[in-house]
Amino acid sequence: MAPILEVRDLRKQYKSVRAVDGVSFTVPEGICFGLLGPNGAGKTTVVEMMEGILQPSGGEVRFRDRPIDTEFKRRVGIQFQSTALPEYITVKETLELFRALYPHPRPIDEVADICSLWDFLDRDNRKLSGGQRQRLLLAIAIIPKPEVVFLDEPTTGLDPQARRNFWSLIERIKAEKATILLTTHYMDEAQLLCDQVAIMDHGKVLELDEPQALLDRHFHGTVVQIPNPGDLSQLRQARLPADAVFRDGVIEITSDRLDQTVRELLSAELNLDGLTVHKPNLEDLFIKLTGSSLRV
Amino acid sequence: MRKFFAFFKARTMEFVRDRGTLFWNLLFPVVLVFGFAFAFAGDGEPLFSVGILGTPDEDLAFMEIEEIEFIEYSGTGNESREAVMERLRRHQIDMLVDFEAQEFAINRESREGPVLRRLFLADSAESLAAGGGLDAAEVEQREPGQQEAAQQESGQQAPGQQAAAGSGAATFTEQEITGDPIRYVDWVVPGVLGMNMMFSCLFGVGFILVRYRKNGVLKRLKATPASPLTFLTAQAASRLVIVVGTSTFVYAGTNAFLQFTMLGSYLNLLLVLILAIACMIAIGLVVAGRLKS
Ligand SMILES: Nc1ncnc2c1ncn2[C@@H]1O[C@H](COP(=O)(O)OP(=O)(O)O)[C@@H](O)[C@H]1O
Ligand SMILES: [Mg+2]
Repeated sequence: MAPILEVRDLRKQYKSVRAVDGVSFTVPEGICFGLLGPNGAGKTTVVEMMEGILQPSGGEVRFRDRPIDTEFKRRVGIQFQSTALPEYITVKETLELFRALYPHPRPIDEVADICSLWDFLDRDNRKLSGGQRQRLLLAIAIIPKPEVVFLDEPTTGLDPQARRNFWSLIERIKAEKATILLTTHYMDEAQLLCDQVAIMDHGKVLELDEPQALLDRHFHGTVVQIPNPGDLSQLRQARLPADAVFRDGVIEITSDRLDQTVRELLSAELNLDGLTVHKPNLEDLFIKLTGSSLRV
Repeated sequence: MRKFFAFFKARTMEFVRDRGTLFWNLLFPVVLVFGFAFAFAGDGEPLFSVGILGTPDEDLAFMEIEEIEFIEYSGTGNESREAVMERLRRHQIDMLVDFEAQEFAINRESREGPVLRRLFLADSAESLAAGGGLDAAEVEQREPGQQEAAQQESGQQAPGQQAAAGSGAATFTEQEITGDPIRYVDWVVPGVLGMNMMFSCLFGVGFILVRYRKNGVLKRLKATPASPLTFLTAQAASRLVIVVGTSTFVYAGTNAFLQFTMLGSYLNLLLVLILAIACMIAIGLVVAGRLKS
């Protein structure tokens, strides 16, 4: 299928900071595309250039094979990473305000249903909890019946329960065939929601594929982590498996044959307290790619 | 147009629901007007003040009276005879003596007028006696009753024709005019209203826009199909209606208690008000545009 959005060699330079440094990817219609990366990776900058809010220093953004224009703004919904809502008006009035700005908006009842706004529809915007606020912002984003929904770190700062609720909302919007562009620094979120991910750091895309394909490409087997391996002098003598990495005081081994690895570890006489074994996830991939754990 | 009204409504509601701003815009000016009204109710000014046009006659004993403050006017520009007469009409001075035209004038509505006339004419009687001109009895004849009768016939500015030839004050023709005093509050109200309007426009448009830009409301609107022009005109229109509304409220509210002197037409006032608001909003917008943070 033809891509709904395309980004070609996008760049953004702030005085001395190169926030985005040559990013290219295409987003097929109807999928959830994830931009992953730590804080400062350049996710927001990429998304805001795609939304037409920021002017790129180089490269271009195309929507349905045309440069973005005012028509584009009628057909997309946006949730910024941080937005103030107009003050002294209620949730319902806010929705009405934004409904007036689009040609064929959804009825209030419908967005209130989708985003579960009924409990606080008459409350002042300033008196919402974090989760309620994010739901309202999402509701504003889907008012125009958008073909593309941009969500910039929608779950950052929410408690686990609220995050889970929010995920189910995103699933509902996905079910309506809208294309979603989601940024996050939670790898579990990306793995759960996204059909395709681009992993970014320092303004560049490091990897781009379906989450499972990425993992299959980079990992064979299982990840074994030993959080308290004991003192370092002992470690040097120990005969560790060849592909073991030592980082931030944690030994990490990716193993194809778990029985053999475990036997090697036992013979190395390490302190195996707190040893974990798990299937590799995006978090592991990220660490492997960037050589550091997430700078949250 | 739908967008315009949506913005207009949101902004106006924001104003009405924001108690703090509402207080400053409505109650504060009222309080200020009343405050001034009471603070300046009594006047600690000299007992009498007399305006002088032309070169004063040094011989007149009247000019030596200590309780009288003499104010000399140049007779040109805003100190022209008409301007000074206007001051007399508004009770800013109690009497005008024009040595050039040999006339004096008092305000019928003023309590001080008759007293000053008496003093002035008493002086003239003396100088007459000294100069051997008119009989003092003739001067005595000029009683207020007569003058008022004459005045009712010929309207407000009927010049009294009673003066006779001779020297000193007796040669002065008398004029009487009427006019209610303009109190201090009558001057204060337009100022307070104007001040209120200026702040309301500067803050309500300029400052709010700066705040919207800082907290991201503008950015959110930029992501919608609404044009900035629609947004700005809606902001300005909302503020215009608010300021006209609050000014009317403040004026009507204080007027009910203080009964201001209103000279001129309300329609013109409204026009000037609207123009002034438009100017102040424009300045607010320029300030908002120039201010980076
Ligand atoms: N307006 C700006 N001026 C200067 N530097 C900026 C600006 N906005 C972002 N940056 C820089 O660009 C980089 C990428 O930022 P951002 O896109 O917000 O990252 P992310 O959303 O992934 O956390 C950061 O180093 C940030 O400091
Ligand atoms: Mg960001």
